[in-house]
Amino acid sequence: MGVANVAQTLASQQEWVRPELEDLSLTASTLWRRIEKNTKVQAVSNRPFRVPTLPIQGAKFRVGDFDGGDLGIGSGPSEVVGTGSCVSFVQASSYTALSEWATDTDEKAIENFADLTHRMAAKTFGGYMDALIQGDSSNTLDTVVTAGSDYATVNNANLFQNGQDVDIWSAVGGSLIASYTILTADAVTATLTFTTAISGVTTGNVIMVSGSSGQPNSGMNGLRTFAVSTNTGIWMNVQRSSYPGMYTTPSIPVGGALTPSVVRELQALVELAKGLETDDDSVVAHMSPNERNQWEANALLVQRIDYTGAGDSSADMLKKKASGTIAGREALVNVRAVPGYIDFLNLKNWFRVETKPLDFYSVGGQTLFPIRGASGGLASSYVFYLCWMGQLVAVQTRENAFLSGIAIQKGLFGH
Amino acid sequence: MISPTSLLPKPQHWPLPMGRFGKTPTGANLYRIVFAPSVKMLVGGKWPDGRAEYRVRPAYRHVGNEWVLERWLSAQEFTGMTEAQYQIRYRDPSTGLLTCGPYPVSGAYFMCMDAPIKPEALDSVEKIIAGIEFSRKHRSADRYRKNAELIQEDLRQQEAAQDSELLAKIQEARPAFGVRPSNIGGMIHSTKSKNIVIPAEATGLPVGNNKFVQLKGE
Repeated sequence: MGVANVAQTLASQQEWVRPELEDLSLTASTLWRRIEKNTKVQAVSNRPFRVPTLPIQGAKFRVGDFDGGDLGIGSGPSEVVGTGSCVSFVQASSYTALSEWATDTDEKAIENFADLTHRMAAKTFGGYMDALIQGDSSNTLDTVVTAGSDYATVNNANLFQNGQDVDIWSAVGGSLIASYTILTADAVTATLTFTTAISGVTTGNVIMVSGSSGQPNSGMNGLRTFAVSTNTGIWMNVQRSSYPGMYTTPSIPVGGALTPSVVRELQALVELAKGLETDDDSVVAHMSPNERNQWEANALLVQRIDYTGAGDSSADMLKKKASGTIAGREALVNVRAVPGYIDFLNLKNWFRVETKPLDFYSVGGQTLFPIRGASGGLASSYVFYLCWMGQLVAVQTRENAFLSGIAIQKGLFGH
Repeated sequence: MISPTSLLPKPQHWPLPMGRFGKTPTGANLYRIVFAPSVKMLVGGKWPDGRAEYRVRPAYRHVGNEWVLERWLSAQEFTGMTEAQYQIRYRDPSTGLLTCGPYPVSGAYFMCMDAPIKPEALDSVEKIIAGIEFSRKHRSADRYRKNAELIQEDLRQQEAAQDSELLAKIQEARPAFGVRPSNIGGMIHSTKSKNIVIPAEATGLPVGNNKFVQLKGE
């Protein structure tokens, strides 16, 4: 053997591993967490729940004739009940015994794999719920804009997560085309790449949560369930057309840039809808980063980039941080928000009802289950489930408002 | 016919000379500091009581009893459209009224900074206005891109904070020995070992008058 080379030393060389594991997936759940935090979570049974409303206040007002005239009869308030049912979601996570044993101390690995799996499970579940909350209660996540061999462009790829199973339907209420698994969801190019070719998928098909029935009003309620400006469809099974204007949400199709007058118009519509005293601290403006950037483009704020540009003349007043408000209302910027929309949500009117709060599936206190092998014996793998059963409800939809058709800036969401 | 704009009352100004920050084409101050509840706007349309008319409503009801800094904007900048376009876009078809009142031919004031200005910060209003004017003079695609990047960075930091909180929650819920899932919803009923209660006598430990198992009468 000649001169020893580096290959002969590999057995004893230590490898440097960066002591941080970069999480490349999107796991935030902005709005979902906010509704959980700010509003009441109501426990309900498995029976349909009822949400009473009062669309007609009653009583008859007229000119009186007190000189023997007929004063007529009156009327009373008319209550209408909205009803809903809880929907169920489950998320399974699995890992092998060795994956845990090989990573369970700092000497073995930079991250305990079992710990990581559990942490990611809770985060991804929140992310999936945040994506669902953007929808219209059909469990639709997004629509196919264009379809390629093994990829599809969508409106907002942030609504999906890497490795997610989805069902693609021809349309809501249409037919199931196939189930596919997303390899990666790239928000910059608004592209979903799948693990296999997606045959039969075309523009306009809808991408739904795995296992969806594909029917309208069969899934979890979302923003687009309640943010409806026309007297069509239903609010909690009440036909909007039965009480025009009572279960709708004021809306403005912007069709361009976000200007101050648009925001003021939205405020005017809420005033017209409810009369007065409706705007308070619980109103947040839910939007994607595009709308946040659009608002900053009005240059009525001291935009954050000015911090460097304005030099020392502004050091004590200006921060390198986005303004947290839009025209005085809290801006809730959510990467999963549908671009082009700003939803003004009065969070005091939003709440969740839950038959089963988010938790690990538990049998007698056990939450981690062994998997059976093909032989009938145990497999050296574990599975655990996160489950949730509930529904999202918004009352007083006229106290909300939304803008649509806001221009999407070049470079964002594949534009 | 009286213009509906004449219905709008004058807002209450903070007693600070603002003319030094510039003038509008009509000679008014470019900036003004006003008491938010005193700033009104016109809303036209059909009201819940059935009447169709213009009414004066608070412009910044949500701000509360605070002072706000406003800047004058030209009608074009405020609305983003011409008067003809405005007449089409903002006219309520059922009542014929303009939802936000007539086209602001002379421009309009709108709130800056998206937040009230505290009286103690008024000494710094010059710096705020300098920053706003700087931002208005330096608009470019590159600037918007940088703003978008900073917004994304904010979001990333928020997510990191959420992650940290979630990790703490998960770790708090983890069993004392080994990694086993447990309830993060509140009540702990995980795979943690149960407490096994063994009577002191069974362990062979001394049991005296000052020991807990000693009962009266025995």
